[in-house]
Amino acid sequence: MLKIILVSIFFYFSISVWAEEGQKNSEKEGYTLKPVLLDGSNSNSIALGIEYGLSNGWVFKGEEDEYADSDSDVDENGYWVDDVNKKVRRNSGYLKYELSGVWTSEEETNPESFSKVKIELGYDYFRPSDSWNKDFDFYLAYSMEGDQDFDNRQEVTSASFSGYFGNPKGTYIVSIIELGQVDASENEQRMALTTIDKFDRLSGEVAFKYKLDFGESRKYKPKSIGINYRYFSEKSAPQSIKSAGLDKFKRYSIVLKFEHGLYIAYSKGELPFDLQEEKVLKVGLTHNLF
Amino acid sequence: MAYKWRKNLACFSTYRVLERDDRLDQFEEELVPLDKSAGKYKVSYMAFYPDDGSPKVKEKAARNIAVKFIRFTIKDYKPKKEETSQTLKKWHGELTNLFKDGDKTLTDIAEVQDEYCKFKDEMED
Repeated sequence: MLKIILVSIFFYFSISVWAEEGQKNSEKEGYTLKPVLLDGSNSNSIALGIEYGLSNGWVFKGEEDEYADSDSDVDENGYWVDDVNKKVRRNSGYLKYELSGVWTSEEETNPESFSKVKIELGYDYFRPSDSWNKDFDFYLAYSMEGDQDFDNRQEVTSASFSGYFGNPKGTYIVSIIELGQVDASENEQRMALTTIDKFDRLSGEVAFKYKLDFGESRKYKPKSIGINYRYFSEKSAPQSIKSAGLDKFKRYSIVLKFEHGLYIAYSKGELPFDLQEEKVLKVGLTHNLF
Repeated sequence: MAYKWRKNLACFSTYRVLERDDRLDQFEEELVPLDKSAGKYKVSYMAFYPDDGSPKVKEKAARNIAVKFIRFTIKDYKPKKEETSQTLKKWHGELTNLFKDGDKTLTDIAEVQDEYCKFKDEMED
């Protein structure tokens, strides 16, 4: 249901914006197309494939974007002018898409059989300044990942809002809230408990970073302290998932950071199955001092 | 060919803007001296980098530090634009992509600086 609503909003919004907005401009486009030799892991054969990628994006430009694209970022002698705060700020909608994958003539010979499509429609408000930077965005996203012909695939639809406040000293806070539909068919632990492989999930994150300053003698003093909290809740989870404690996930971490990637960290909790790769720190007290 | 960390203003300015206490102050010169090894210093080692954050948090943090990085580069080193088609927005976009990737290094950042800036050591008298 959520997916239908979001996709409907997505297309309605797309058509409305396109119909009313005559100033859409291509901002980010690119493509890659290159042959690759794929070494099959289960055979001695080598397959010739094509790695492809295509992306493009449009910003529905306002006056600020027009200003950003003007030639006023250099002086009469060709020197960059410090006008960055105004040049990069945003107050506009955007639409972007990405298509990527690896393709071979016969899918069975493709050890990296992969393809992905992602479409994102959003609104971006970005205000860098000499005091507090403000950076907000809201977007609807639809993505489909699968093997090269999308015979096996999973789809993700989501709506997100994120906000950032930060000062020039390097202290900042970011908060994110997202409602999305998750495809959990690859999650063996879940599939052993229920046949419901798709569900709606509400998630949130708060990240805080405080830049530490110990003055002159700070050679071995920490540089920053970071706190991160993430929360995930499955909507209308079946009883079997609740009983197994898989309907809610919480995780927080505190990182005291020194030089050269040295840190002392404490973290507790877990991330959901599909986001495990985002986890950098181990659960518990960890350190990386020597 | 891959860009190399060397004695030029692209590398020097990258290092100084990130190191100076009155600039971004991301590391200490005593522990990360300005020599060949400095070019290997990773973005994930820097104080601002949100190690345990989601990709969105990293993107936000990167986008915001990239603005300050450009401002200090222009203020302190007064470079010229390398190519007329370049814009501050594109420069900022490229730096944001580097600052959100913890595996990128000072050398990667210096490469972008060299691509967008003609520093005094490249200008004819």
